Amino acid sequence: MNISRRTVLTSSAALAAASALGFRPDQVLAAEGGTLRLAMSSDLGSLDPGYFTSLPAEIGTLFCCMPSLARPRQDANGTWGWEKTEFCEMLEQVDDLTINFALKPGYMWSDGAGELTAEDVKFSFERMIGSDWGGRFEAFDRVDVTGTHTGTIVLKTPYVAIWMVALAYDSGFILPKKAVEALPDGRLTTSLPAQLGPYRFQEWIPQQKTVLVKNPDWTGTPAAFDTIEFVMVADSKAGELALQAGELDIAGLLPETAANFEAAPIPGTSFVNIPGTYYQWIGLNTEHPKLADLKVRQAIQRGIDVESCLAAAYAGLSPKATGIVPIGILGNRAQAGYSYDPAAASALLAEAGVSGLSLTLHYNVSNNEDAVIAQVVQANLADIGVTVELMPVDSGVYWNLGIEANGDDWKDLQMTIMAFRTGPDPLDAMQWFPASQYGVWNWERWKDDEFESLWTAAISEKDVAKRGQMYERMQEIMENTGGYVWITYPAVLYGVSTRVKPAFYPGGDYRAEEFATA
Amino acid sequence: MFASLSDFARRDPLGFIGLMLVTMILFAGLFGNWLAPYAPSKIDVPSRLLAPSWEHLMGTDKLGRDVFSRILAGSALALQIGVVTVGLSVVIGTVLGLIAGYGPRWLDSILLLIFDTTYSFPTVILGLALVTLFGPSTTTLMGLVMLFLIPAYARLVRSSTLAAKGADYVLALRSMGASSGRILGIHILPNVIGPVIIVACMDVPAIIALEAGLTYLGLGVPPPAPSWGRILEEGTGSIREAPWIVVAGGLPIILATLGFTFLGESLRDRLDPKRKGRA
Amino acid sequence: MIGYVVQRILLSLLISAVAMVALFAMVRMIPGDPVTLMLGARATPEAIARLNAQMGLDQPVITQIGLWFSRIFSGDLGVDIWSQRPVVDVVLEALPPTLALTLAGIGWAAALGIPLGCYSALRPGTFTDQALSVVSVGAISIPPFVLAIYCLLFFSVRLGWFPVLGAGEDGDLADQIWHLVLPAFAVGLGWVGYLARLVRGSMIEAMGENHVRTARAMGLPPHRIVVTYALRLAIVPTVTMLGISIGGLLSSAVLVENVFSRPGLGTLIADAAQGRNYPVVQGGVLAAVLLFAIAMPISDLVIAWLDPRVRKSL
Repeated sequence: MNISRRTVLTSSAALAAASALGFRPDQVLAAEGGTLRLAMSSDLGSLDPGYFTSLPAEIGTLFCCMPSLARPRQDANGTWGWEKTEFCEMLEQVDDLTINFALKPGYMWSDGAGELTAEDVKFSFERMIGSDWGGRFEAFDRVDVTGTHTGTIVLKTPYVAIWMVALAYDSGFILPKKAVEALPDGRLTTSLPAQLGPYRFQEWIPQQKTVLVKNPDWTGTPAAFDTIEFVMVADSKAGELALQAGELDIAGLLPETAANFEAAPIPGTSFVNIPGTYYQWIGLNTEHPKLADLKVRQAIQRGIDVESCLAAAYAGLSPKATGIVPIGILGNRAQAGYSYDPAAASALLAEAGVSGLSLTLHYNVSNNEDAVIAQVVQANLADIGVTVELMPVDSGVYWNLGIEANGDDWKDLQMTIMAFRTGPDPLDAMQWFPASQYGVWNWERWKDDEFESLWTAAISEKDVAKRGQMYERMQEIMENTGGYVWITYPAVLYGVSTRVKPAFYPGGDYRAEEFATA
Repeated sequence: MFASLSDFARRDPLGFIGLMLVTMILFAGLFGNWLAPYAPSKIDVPSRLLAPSWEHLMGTDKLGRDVFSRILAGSALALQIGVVTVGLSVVIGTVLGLIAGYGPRWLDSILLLIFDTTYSFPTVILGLALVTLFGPSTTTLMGLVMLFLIPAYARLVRSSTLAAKGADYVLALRSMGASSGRILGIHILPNVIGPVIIVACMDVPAIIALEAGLTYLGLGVPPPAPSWGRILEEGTGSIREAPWIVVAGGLPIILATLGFTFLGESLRDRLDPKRKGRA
Repeated sequence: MIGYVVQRILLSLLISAVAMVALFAMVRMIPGDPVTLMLGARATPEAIARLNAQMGLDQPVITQIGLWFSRIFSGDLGVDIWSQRPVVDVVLEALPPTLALTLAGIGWAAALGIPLGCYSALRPGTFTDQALSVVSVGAISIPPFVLAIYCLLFFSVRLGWFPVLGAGEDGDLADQIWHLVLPAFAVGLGWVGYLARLVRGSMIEAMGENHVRTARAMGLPPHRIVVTYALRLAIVPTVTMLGISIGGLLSSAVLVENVFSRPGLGTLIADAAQGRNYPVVQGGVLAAVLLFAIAMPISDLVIAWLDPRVRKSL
């Protein structure tokens, strides 16, 4: 039974009641043509690239309404690289330390903020150095302005990841210098003083939506929609229902639902599974007395049935991880160095002379999948005689567990279900594990000389294949500490209205400016 | 008094149904683990999300656990959370309410201030605070629930006591020199306890449902405990893919609500001297 | 009487102050650090120190409480640490949709639940009474978030009568009402049952009171007896219950707001607490506590007005 909504309304008494109350029946239908509605699970916080949280609504707005020199693009093999944008006449890395750029003349900022110039580029990149995201600009020295539209980006040290980590992604936005400097303390908040892009940021309605409209003055690639709305959807089930009711054009799906969509999509929708850029693992504190013996850690690596975790938590839609570099990014490993083998696990425990081991497993309650994984892990390890106590904690507690500066929890931390997010370069994923991160984000608490020297060397390695091998070797070193049980790179699962043609950034963030009508 | 069960069933059918349902839940709570066809936390991923069948009466959840066994095992937890907390809260709340309502003005004011202050805390915030401070556990949950129930009952008893205090017969008793304890215990208590018992009986399942709500926000009893709330919460995520889980999780909550409410009212009718033989 | 009103209002203010101090201390006792959450993995020592100073987190908690209270009177509740907007604005935006939801929910629940309770009470033990009992008790037992999901599935997806997301367009009252129907239904259904049971119980009791019996014996028409004499008394526990249930209502509102992605105070506080966004948590809780502080004296006054015995004892 699939009567259209209009039929139901006109055929029932509801119409009379509805019009008596002033309801407009046309509102019942999804907005047609003009509006693109994208589901968001978190609200907008700040639009300043130096101080935002890089939430989807934030970078979605900036990609639509602000210029940059380069943006990510996937090659035929699915590996992420970069390309120059339509704002650039020329963009070229001359040597290890020099990048030249030339802007196309004639791009005018809105609100009378003048033309897009090389001064804006200089201002925007140099202000990143001291910002919250300054870590991405450590190798960055300065921008020399050589003309109104031309300039040179100068690095202090060779840094091959500068493109994917800084310039070509969510730290590479160019801001209007004069308009930003005129703001109190020179920061953007939840509005843009001047904009330049196919869409214009119109308003943010807290807890509800962020609204962009077509930029009437835009001369570049034309915008496909009159309006784009990033709509807050707090509950994923509601997002799926709104998609079906025509109130959204794209929404994230729960794994169970996604599995159903894959088999038989609801009419008017299709299913998209995008490789995620989170990497999830179970970390073992290598320094904890109960886990100090490498054999015990290896036993746990072999005692956890990752396939079962994935089947239960992600309905089997997420790939098995082989390390921390997700699929589609340089350095992704073909295979892990161990596999599920309870017999070997028991043997290792026996060899280590350990019995009746009892461990704690911390996870973040905000992630439903983690609770499922935790329960499978508990059952798996029970099979090899290890008792696991589940320790769900809220995210405020969770993210401080292993940080020495923020309390004493790290001292008794044993196992943790962890997930970090990476940009489209392996360096971004790897940066939380060198010795400097010991006691900060390296909660497995190890240091390794070979890892350190590879980490330093890979930063300036220009040979792509060689660089990839270095990162693979680094993951092998991590694995050999016994501190890691790789779980998955959680797949990003969407239901999409057949009305639109979606486009995505690495990790499945909406590329709203490239969405088109189907 | 009812001569026999069948007489009870005839004269107060709802009360009888209530008694039967509560007995059933108590039975499940006591022997659930023993009755369950499978171990309630036994994970069997390959047979996940199976529809109800003779093998799995209520199907399986996404970890492949038998839902029926989990519901049975969950009764004990539900009773612990519902009955024990509500019972304790009624006792403490009633005593405090009587004192506040009958005692001197200043004591009333202080107690009222304490009740209202506690009660004015939004549940969710307090829940979050307690759960993060003490960790998610059954005890934390029970403490949280009591923190809200005690002032609620106390306030209810207090306002009925205030009303009764002004009633002619109490004024008469006082002028005749009856002791406060006697007036409270013999004359006021039976008059004010009625509403509290109804509210408390309705609260038993409400608390069980509240546990579901807190679980939905991630503040409930931690897994793998088979709480009805968690089963329900897990079920809502897959209402279309595996609708039987929500039904299985919701059914015992509905039955418990019916049972406790009707039993409570039947009980109240018999406790209240004024109502004998009427309702 | 005026003295009583003043006393109740002062008491409410005192309650709010005590509750705020207690909450303030408790919120700060919760482990977790907003700076780590906000900056995530990119926290540099300088950024941490800067944010801490900006939020006043580098000062002792006592000083923070003092500062916060001293600023309340000038209407300054601090700044949202995520969006940098004044907390007053953030809270004032979240308040109307929550008030609309709770009032609509409790409104329809009272409008239906109280008459149902009276109706049952007048014919206790009959089949109608028992059937109504089963239905209303059944209604109590459905957790609002489950009801909300099913409402969406049926009324929004299957029938397409009501929208799924949000609270409607600003300034479009009809649209906002249209968006309010399902959430208010989900919030209120349990209360219909609850009120019906509560009123039925007290009503049966009230019908047994001497003056009601006298009125009956004098042959007054039944509807007059019910409304003028019995209901006046029977409603007292209900009013008390409603007055003190603001906190509970807000909590069921959080669950329902979440399912319908509605903005509101409950969602605001819950999200802010998870993000350790202290200024917003405090501002939101202040609003919740003030709501309670307003509802309390109102319910006390209504009781005093309804029940002559309470009035006498004042």
